Amino acid sequence: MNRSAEGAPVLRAEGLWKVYGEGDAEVRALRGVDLALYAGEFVVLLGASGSGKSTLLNILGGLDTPTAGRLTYLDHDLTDASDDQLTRYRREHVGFVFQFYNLIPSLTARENVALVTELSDDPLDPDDALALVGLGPRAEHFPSELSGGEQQRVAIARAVAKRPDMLLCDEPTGALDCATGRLVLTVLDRVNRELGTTTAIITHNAPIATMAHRVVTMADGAITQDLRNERRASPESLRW
Amino acid sequence: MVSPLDRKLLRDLASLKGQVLTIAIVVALGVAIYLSFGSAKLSLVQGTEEFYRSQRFADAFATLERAPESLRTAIERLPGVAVVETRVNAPVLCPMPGMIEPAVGSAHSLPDFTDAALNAPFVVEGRLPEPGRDDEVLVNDAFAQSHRLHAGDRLEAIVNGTRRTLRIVGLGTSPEYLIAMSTELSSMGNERFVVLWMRRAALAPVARMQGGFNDVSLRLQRDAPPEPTIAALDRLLAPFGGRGARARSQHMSHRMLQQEMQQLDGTSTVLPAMFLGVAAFLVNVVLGRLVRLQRGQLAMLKAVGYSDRRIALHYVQMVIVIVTIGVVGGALMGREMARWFIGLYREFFRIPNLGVRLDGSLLAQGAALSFGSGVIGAIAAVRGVSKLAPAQAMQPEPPAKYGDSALDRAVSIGLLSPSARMVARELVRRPLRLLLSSLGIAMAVAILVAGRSMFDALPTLERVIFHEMMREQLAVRLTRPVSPTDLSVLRTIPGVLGMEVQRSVPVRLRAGSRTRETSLVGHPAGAQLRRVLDERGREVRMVRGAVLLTRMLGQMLDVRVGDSIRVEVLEGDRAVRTLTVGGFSDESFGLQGHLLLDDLWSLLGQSPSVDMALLVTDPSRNEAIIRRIVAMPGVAGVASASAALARFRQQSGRSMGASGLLLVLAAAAIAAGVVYNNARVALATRERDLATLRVLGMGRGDVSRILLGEMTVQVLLGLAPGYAIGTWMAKAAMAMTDPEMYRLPLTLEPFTYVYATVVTLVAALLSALIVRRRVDSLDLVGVLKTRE
Repeated sequence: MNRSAEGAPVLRAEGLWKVYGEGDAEVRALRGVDLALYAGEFVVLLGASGSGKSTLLNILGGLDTPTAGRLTYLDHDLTDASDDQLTRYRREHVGFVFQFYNLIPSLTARENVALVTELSDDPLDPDDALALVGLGPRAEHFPSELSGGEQQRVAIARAVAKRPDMLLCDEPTGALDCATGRLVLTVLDRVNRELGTTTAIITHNAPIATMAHRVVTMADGAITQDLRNERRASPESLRW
Repeated sequence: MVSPLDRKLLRDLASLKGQVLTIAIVVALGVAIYLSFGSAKLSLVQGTEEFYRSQRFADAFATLERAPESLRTAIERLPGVAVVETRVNAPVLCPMPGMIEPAVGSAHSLPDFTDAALNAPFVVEGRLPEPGRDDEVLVNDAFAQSHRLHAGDRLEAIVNGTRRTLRIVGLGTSPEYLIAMSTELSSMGNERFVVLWMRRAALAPVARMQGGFNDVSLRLQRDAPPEPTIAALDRLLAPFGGRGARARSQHMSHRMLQQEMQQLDGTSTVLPAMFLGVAAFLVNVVLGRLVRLQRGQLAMLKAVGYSDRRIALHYVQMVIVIVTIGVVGGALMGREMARWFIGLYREFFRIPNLGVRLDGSLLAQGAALSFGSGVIGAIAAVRGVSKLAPAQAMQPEPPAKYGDSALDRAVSIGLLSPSARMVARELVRRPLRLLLSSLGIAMAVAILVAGRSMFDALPTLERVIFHEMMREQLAVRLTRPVSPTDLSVLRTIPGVLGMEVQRSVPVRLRAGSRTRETSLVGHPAGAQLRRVLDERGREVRMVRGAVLLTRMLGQMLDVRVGDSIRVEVLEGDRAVRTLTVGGFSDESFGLQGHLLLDDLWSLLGQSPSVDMALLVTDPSRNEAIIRRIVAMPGVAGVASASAALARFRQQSGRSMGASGLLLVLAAAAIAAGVVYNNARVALATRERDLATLRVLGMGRGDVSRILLGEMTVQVLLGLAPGYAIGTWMAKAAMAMTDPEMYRLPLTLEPFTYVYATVVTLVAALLSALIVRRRVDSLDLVGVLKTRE
C-alpha cells in the first residue's frame, strides 16, 4: 500500500441526504451518508439494488447534487456548486466508467479517447491510454466493431486518459461475462497501481470486493459497514 | 370507448407537440396557398365572366377618325357580326384639386334612349345620365373613390378641349376598364385616370361628332372566328381613318387580367408543391425517429398479436391527425388569404360583386395532396420496423454501425477534432436525410430569392424609365396634331426652359405575310429628352430613312437590320410606304417603331405636325405651368415625370410591404420546420451520446455545438441550391408575363441573396435555440442509467 489512510481525504462527504419527490411519493435515496476517499485508494461500494450506492456515486462525481449535507473536494466545497462548476470538476478531476460503456458510436476507439484528452491540460496520449488497457491494436475500430469487454476497456482508457484524480465506476462489469469482467477489473487495478488514481467501484457483486483496499457496504440509503481488507485478492483470481 | 392504442396515439402526439405544430404549419401553408390562389383565380374567372356577360363586353373593338352613322348598316352586314354598337369618344382632362397634374382619360357616349348594347357601364352608385340632360355624367368608380366623389358632386372637365362643368349622377365601372389604367405609364394610378359616360346627344356636339361616330364595338356570332370579321371591318373603316380593329384578346384590360390569372396558375402549383414536399419529408423524419424509439413497444404489440397492418395504421393515424390539424388550419388561413387577395383585386380590378368563392374541390385536392404526402412519409418510416420479427424487435437496437463505409474512414483524414468527426460521420451516415434537409432549406431560400426578384426589377425599371427614357419634367399630349409653330407658344410660359416635340401615328407594319398594328413615334434629330435605348442602356442613333423597332416587334415581324418593311399609316391619307429597319431598341413597355420626325412627316405626306411636347422646366414653377397648359385648347393631358416617379414608388412600396412579409413568413416556416424537427430528432436519438459527453466534462455549449453543427451543415448546404432554384423560379415567373406588354429585366441584386440567406439563417437559428434549451436540461443521470 503506497498511500496513507491517515492523510487528508481527496473527497469528503458529510451527512449527505438525497430525497426525491414529496409527500407519499417521497423517496429517501441517501440518509445522512458520511464517506471519505483518500488518495490512491481502491474502494468498492457494495450494496443491493436500491441501496443508494449509485446515487452516492453520482453525487460524488458531480452528476447530481445532494438535498442536504456537505461535499468537499480537497479544499473546494461542491455542495452548492453551479452547473458550470460541476462541469469543470468533472472535466478536471473525475473519470467515469459506466455499465453500458457509453461510447460514441460514430467515433473510433482512439477518437473516443481523444474526445476527453482534448478537454484536458495534461492528458495521456490516446494511444498510450489504449495500450494501458491492452487495446493498442484496436485503436482504429468503431464501437460496433468491438466486443463488450473491449468497449468497456475503451471506456476505461477514455476515463483515465485525462489523468483524473478519481475514477468512478458504476457496475463496470455488470454487462459482461465473468472472464471478460475479470479482464476489465485487471485493467482497473493496473490503472490504480500504475497511475495512482483513486478508484471507486460500485457493484452488487460481493466477490469483487476482495480486490479492494476498502469495502463500503450500503443498505437502505446508509453505510452499514466500512471494512479494510487485510489482504487484497488479485483480480485474476476472482470467481462469480 | 377509446382503445389503448388510441390513448397511446394521443399521448404520443402530446409529447411531440412542438414537432406536430411545425409540421402542421408547413402543411397549413401549402393548403392555404393552394386554396387561396386557386380561389382567387376562381373568383376572378367567375366574377369576370359574369361581369362580361351582364355588361355585354364586346368581342372586337375599333376606333377611327369619323364615320357617318349610316356606316353602321354596312358594319352590321359584315360576316360574323351579331351586334354593333357605335359610340362617340372624346379625350377628357380633369384638373383635380390637390393634384398638380390633371387626370386624363376618355368620355364615351351612351345611346340616347336605350341601354348600351355592348360594353354597358355597371352603375355602382347613383344612376345613368338621363336623356336630354347635357351635364349629367357617370364617372368611373376607381377615379371617383380616390377623389371622394359621389353622385350629386360637380366635376370640372375639359372634354375635347372644351371646359365643362358636369354633374355626377352616378359611379360606374365597365368590362373595358377592369383595370382603370391608361396605357401610358405616366398616368398610372386610379386618381389619374378618368372615364366619363354621357348620353350621345350631350357628348356628340362637344366631340364634334353629330351624325357620326369614332368608335365601334362588335359582338360576333357564336363560334365565328374573329379574324375575318376584323379584317373586313378594317377594310370598311379604312377610308374613315380606321386605326385597326382588335379582338378582345388584344384588349388591354382583358389582357392584363389574363396575365394575372396565368401567374396565379403558376404560383398555385409550384408553391404548395414545395410546402407539401417539405411536410412529407418532415413527417418521415419525425415518425422515423418515433418508430425507432418505440421499437420495444412495437415488438410487444406484435408479440401480443397486433397485426403489422394495425400497427402501421396506428402511425398513419398519427399522420392523419397532424395533417388534419394542418388542413383545417390551412383552410382557415386560406380563406382569410383568399379574402385578402380578393380585397387587393377589388382595388386593382374593378369587377363589381367580386366575391370570395372558396372552391370546395380545391380544398379537397389540397387535403388529398397533404394526406398523400404525409402518409407516404409515414409508410416509409414504419416499413422497416414492421418487417422485424417480434423477438428481434424486442432486442435493443444494436449500436449504430460506423466504419462500414469508406466515407466514415475518409472523415478520419484531415485535422478534424473528435467532435467535428462526430458531426461529419452523422451527416455522412444519412446522406438522403442530409440531401432532403438541405433541399428543404433550399426551398425556403428559393422562395425568398424568387419573391424578391420582382422588387429587384423595380430600381432598374425606375432608372431606365425615369432617368434614361423620360428625361423631361412635363409631357404635354395634344388631342390632335398641330404645326410645330403653333406649339411654340408653350416655350413662352414662364418657367419653361426647353422643349422637344414628338409625333406618333398609328400604323400597320407588314413584313412578308406578317403584320402588326402599332404606332410610329417621330423624334427630332438629336433628341435628348426621350431617347431610344438598347438593352445596355446605350442610345440607338436614328438614321434618315430608317426605322428602329422594339426588338420584340422585330422578332414578331421576323425582320433584320437592313430589311425592308411596309408601313401603312392608319390615319389621314393612309399613305403606304416602305422603310428600312435601321436597328432595334429595348424599351420595357409596349411595341413601337421610332424614326426621325422628317421621315415621319414625309411618310405622312403632310406639312410638319406634332402631337406631344416634352418640356424642361423650372420644377418650382411646375404647378403654374401646368395650370396654364391645361387651360389651353387642344391639350389631351399633362404628365409630370416627378409625380409619376413618386406614384410609381408609392405603389411598388405598398405591394412590397405586404408580399414581402408573406414571403418571409412562408420561408421562415419551412426553414424552422426543417431545422426544428431535425434538431429534435437528432437530440432524441443521440441524447445518450450527448449526455455522455456532458458527463465526460464537456460544457453545454460544446455539446450544443455538436448537435447544432449538423443543422448548420444542412442549412449551409441548402443555400447555394436555394439561390439556383430561386433564380430559376424568378426566370420562370418572368417568362409568364406577357412579353408584348412589358419586358422587365431579370436583375437579381446581390442584396436579394443576402436577404434570403439572412432570413433563412435567422429562422434556423431561432429554431435551433429552442432545441438548445433542451440540450441544456439533459437529464445526465437518467440517460446514463438506461441502456439504449
